[in-house]
Amino acid sequence: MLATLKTYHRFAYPLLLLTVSLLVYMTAYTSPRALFWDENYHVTSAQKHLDGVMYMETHPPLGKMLMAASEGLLGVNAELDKSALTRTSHISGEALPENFSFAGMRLPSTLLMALSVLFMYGILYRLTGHRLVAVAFSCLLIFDNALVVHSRAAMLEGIQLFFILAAIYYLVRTVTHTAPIRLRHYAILGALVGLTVSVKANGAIVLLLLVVLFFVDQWSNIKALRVLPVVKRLATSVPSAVAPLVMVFLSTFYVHIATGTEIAGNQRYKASPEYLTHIREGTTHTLSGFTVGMRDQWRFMAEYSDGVPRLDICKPGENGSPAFAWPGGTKSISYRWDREEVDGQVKVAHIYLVANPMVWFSALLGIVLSVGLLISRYVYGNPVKDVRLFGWIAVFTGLYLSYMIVMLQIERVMYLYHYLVPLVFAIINLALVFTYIFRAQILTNNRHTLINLGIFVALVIAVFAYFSPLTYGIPITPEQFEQRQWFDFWMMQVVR
Amino acid sequence: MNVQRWMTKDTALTALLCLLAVLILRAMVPIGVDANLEMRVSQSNVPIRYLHQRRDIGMTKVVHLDKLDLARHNRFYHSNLGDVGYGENFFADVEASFRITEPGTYVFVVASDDGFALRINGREVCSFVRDRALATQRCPIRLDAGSHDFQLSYFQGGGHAGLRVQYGRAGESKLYWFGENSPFLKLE
Repeated sequence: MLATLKTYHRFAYPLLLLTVSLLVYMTAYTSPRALFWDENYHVTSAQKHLDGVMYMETHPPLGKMLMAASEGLLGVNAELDKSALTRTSHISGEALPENFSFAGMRLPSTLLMALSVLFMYGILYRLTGHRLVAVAFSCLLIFDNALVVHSRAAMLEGIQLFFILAAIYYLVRTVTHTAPIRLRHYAILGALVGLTVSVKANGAIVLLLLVVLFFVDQWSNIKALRVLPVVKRLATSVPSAVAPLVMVFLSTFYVHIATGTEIAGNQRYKASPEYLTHIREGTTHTLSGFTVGMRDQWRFMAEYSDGVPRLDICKPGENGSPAFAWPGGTKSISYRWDREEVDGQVKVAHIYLVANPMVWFSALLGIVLSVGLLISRYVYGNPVKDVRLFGWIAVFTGLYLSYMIVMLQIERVMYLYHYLVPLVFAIINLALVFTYIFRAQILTNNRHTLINLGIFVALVIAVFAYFSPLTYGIPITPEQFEQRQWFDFWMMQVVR
Repeated sequence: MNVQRWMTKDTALTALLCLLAVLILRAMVPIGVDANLEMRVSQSNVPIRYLHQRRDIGMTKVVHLDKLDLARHNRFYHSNLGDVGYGENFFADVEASFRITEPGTYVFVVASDDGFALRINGREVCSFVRDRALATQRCPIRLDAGSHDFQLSYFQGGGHAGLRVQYGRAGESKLYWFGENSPFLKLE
């Protein structure tokens, strides 16, 4: 019995995390029973997959394909006439069939995000070597209001973050494993990067993981300036990684193009006459059909991106925000509100994208500290007390900064939820910085350090609970809403 | 006692976490001030240079106050509630009714940075409608016994801010904060 317990106790922590994560993310995820934010677009796209209708969209199709698969498998709206969804690219709440259930469409993002905590735990456990540290910082992924509210929707970020965390986990697992790095590792990581990019293009940041893998693989040769072995490895590892990446990416587009054999509601998306001919003749699955379709899809994505307006913070009701303001939680977004008046008392159910400040500010502090650490090493030549951990801190700080630098170059309007990807990097980095600072204490299971960690997690959960009415749409009074406007720069808007 | 033994990284982190816990609790628990007055604060989308300029409002919020004592640290600041304005370019409006028990001449003492206008029963008693540093005006008015309407409009453009409103009987040195009752004036 004791032996069995000993064998399985290592599963206890991830199991507990998974249970809590499922409860936090999945509880009443079908609420609100109305569309909000980009669901108006994604639900129509996903339905088109089910009905074999061609469409073009700014994001690659994998996220919508998963929504369609989930909707098809659950069959929760099988009895409804959903033709209104396929005739348009953007459906209003009024046009949605009555009693439409969101259980199918919202499931992929919600469930995958809930499952992501396992990857988070795996990453942190492998890097810190301490189960409680891994559990504590995994809680930040579960109890962040912005992550929860945005993932409990028929949107793409929850799905994308799942693949991003899967890719990071695979990289960490490969690198921390005793076995040498082989080409199949490049291939699998390439495929995971391909899945990420097939959901949303900003996931391309994880291409850097392949660079990290290569550096770790060839570090001894790079350090010794042995150019020939590095070039040789480059010649084999690049195709090994890129081929599966491209294959995954093109495969999702192939399924998308090959199955889109109808035009509905005169929605042609500026498709070329050749592509339209292939659709009419049902030959989109052929090589020429796919080539033409891919070209048109690609062109549509580029044209759409060019057409997105620039950020205009002077515009009334502007929801966009500049990237430099995201780490502080600017600007929160009201996704939806429903006002009701009971006995003269106004109560409003909000679905509001607002940060858990404990998570976001701690993560930002971690980035500040790790940048300080890097400067102290490379500018002032201070010694490093744990080379391995220092390397990983450099990796995640690098990922965070790279993403933010790219975002700062983008002129089109961007939104606070575009920060969720670097937030995940920053959470991992925070765990590493904590472990780096308290290394000796963690190694000796210092009780004071672990109690501090417990207090930190308790504060994270308390703040999450406090903001949870805005996450789950629990009706609150305008005064209670105003009480949650902790910072003016969040720019929250009360409804009376 | 060996103080150095306690000065560890863990102690520093505990102190930081305790401080955070206090701040979080303070932000979560509503601070109790008597809601004697309701003030509507409206953030302007354009710079405010003149109290009566056309209003182009972005955000608004309602703040419940015990008294109109909002001039501390050169900010629109309540001693318990903290900053109650929007930084800069905002209007604040207070409407209230009060009852006078003893007829006579009363004086309202208004200090503002920037401008304000005070109306009693719809009649402007005094005002300063442009921007300025904190300055005080005494505004006398004869009031009969009975109910009266109080209307105060204030604006903050840029820089320092603040608003104070007190009242008293003409010829007497004792002043009361508007929002607080006195033997001769009671809020309704």
